[in-house]
Amino acid sequence: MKPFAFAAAAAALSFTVAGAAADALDDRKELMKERGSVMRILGPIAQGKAPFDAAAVNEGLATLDANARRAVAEVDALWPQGSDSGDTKALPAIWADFDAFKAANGKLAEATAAAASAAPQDLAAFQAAFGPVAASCGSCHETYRRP
Amino acid sequence: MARARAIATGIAALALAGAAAFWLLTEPRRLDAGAVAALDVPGDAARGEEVFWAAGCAACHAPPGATGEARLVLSGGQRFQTPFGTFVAPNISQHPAAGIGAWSARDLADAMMRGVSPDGRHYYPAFPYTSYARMRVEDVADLYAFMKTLPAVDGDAGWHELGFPFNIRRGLGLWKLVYLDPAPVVALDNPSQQVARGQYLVEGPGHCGECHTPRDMLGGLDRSRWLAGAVAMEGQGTDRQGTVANLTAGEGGIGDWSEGDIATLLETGFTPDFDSVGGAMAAVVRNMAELPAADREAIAAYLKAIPPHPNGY
Repeated sequence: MKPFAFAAAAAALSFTVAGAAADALDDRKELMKERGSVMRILGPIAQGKAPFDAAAVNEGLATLDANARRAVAEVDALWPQGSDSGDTKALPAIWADFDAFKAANGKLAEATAAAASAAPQDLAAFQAAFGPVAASCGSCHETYRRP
Repeated sequence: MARARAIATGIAALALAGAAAFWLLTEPRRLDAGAVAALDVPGDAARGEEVFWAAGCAACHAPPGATGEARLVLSGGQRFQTPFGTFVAPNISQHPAAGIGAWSARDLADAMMRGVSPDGRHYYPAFPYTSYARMRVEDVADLYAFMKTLPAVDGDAGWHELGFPFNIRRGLGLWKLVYLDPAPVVALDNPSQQVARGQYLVEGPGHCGECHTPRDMLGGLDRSRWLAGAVAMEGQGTDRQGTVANLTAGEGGIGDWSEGDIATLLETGFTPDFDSVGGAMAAVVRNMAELPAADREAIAAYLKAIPPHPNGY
């Protein structure tokens, strides 16, 4: 009975771990998709392909900032150890040096906080505030996302 | 007995002939004298800087993760894990012993355009000389002049870690006979000046095909699927394996992108859908962003002119 109980407990535990990892994949995909949806509004404005709209810009920056703050607050749950397999583009480099990943993750939040608090009211101010936010996308993807 | 001896002699003669043929076929071949005459005229360092960014030298030869000015420190050391073994980017700074500070312009041209070192040995094609072979010699002369302005850094980056038979450099002579061809890849019908410029940048210095074209069993590019996308050579078979995008208009490719979309990606790293490219392409974007806008537009025009292929991975 005891070995069985142990096995059952182990199975239940591994199921939970696997389940948590699967949840983490879904949660962080959702997080990234929200960033994408905001970028599709802010990006064309920054590139001069869409007209400047102060309300839309500031709403977008606020959404990005809340998103980035959540990524910092929940970094351990969103990127748990071992969640680099399955339907994910996350690279093992994330966990090879998790502190470095946390620092990169934090840089986005710093950039979004600065941009949101700048509350840009014209295109030039928006472009200046948005630059560091946009730059942090690529710098993280370069190291931590599968090509 | 005599017959056995005759057979043994015959086998020995064949082996010797085979060895001689191997030796002749695998001989490292430099550029011919006529081709390198342009290198005797000093190059233009300012133009050479554009060639430097177009050729993406820093993407491999700068220290891992270098950005901004640090990309001009070409001390090497980046490691590339491939199915053939691990390649280590060498020091190509101006240090006379650790780097290439003692090289002549001809040495640089032979290395980049023929894959031959100053001491007459083959380089491994992780160094994309199969693409650089399509460069104009004048561009190499300008690049040489620019590289002369860069710092000298001491320190050996270490050596490639390759297993048999890939550790036998001489064998690369055979590989080159098959895969080193300076002719243009795509036959374009009366291309505009812009498309021709794009073809030069993509097929030559930009060496886009080295990652974006699938390779065969021997590691040569499958030109029948030019720029169709591929499983990334770097990290292949490891837990870091990824894919490289199809740049043609075929299924899975970028047929619905405008030329402006392509030029914007090369400048900013953002796709039309505002995803941001990562992996090795992030460094490529940093290089491409240094080029004149007309060059990024030329690359876009060329990519719109090439034959479509379905995904090559």
